[in-house]
Amino acid sequence: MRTRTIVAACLAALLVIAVGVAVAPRVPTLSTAETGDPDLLDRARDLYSDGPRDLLGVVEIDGGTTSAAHFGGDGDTDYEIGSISKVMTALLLADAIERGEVTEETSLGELLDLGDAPAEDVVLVELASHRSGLPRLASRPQDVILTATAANLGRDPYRVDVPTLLDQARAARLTDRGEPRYSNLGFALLGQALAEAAGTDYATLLRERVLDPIGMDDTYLPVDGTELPADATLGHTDRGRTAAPWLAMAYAPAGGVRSTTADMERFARALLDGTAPGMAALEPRWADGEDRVGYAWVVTDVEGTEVTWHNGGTGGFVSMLALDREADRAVVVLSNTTTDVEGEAVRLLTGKDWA
Amino acid sequence: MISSVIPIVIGSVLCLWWALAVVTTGLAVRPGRLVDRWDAVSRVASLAFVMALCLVVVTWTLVPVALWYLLTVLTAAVVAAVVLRAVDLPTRGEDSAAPTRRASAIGNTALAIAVAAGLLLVLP
Repeated sequence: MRTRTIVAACLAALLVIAVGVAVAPRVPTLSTAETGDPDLLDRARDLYSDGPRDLLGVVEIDGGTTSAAHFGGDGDTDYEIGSISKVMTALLLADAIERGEVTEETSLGELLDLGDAPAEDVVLVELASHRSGLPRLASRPQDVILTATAANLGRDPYRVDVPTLLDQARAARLTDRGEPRYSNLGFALLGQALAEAAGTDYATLLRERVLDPIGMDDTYLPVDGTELPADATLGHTDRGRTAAPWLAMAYAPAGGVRSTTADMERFARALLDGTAPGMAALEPRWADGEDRVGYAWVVTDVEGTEVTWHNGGTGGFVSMLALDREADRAVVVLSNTTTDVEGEAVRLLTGKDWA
Repeated sequence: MISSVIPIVIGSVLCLWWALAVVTTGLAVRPGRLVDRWDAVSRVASLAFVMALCLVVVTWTLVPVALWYLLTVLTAAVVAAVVLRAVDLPTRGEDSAAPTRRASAIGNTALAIAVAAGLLLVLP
């Protein structure tokens, strides 16, 4: 009897340990599978070796020269670029204005069925410059609960279709309209409105007007899980678990794009040489604290160097695209953990600290 | 900097809660503390619940993962001690608090199972 009890106690302990080890948080470190330019690898390693990291890709453009450094993966490894998607949507807006499809003062209500909701008379330029007064995220109680739960569990908090997005917009209240207030909801609506104006869907619009002209063939928007390749890169949450991929449903214009460092190099180069569509989006026109903003793009003075940038973050990825347009330089950093990359990217770009 | 302070504090509090649950359960194993097997089940279920909570809520990229393994091992030791002790206990105590203890045990166990099942369903 006593032996059986001891065995049972040992089994119970082993069960606890087995479960504990099986579900234990995993905190990765920067991959040691390094490829690319040795000098950039050295500089990037110095900056990014601390903290939870895994795969990290860096591209540095200096005039006609391009260097790349990959810690794990290569130039074709795909990453979620998060809110860098917004600057693509911003380019679409500027391009649509050039085409005469919309104006800055076109209201959401002219393009989307929002009834008599407060968001109905918000105009596109307000959405593009984050001055619409719309909340950062949908504010209906069910949306708040679902978003918070998904974020805590490492799932995609934006798995809503366009009709649901419109319901969220109809329920949204405007606060401090005209003042800077970063809004994912606003950018999702902007992208869907532009798609409506063009008579297509957002993914097709982005493909036809931005990705294809620049040659970003490996950049894509997975609307559902079946469109994700089997070898799609997985991110790591800050809770130490694998993050569910964020799909490109109704919120794709705010953060649903996946890209590679090779494609982002093409993107950055097209922005530097002015061949990207909708370049007017980059021009800073509004103050936001010490920064200035254009359509989505942020312009920051870094110790005398004007840096035009946007970052991105999803449940398991972070990213940064920073341009020094005057010096014809750019840095792109893509990573599959949630540890910040922005300050280091600006340091690579300018050699200066970013407050 | 400020944005990482809050998750560190939350993680520390939750890990402290887990550690306290381990300590109190360990102390309860001493003779005369655990009243019946329902009491034992209740305490083990509470440990499972707080362990699952820590797994989901703690920002383990900011809180040392070694803490997870340490607390897991301590939890395993305490669970083993509870099993050893439980064989000497009556299934159900006969004091006036027995029904409450039983209800508490069932509630804690149901909660732990619900949390574990929920995590299995929703975690990527």
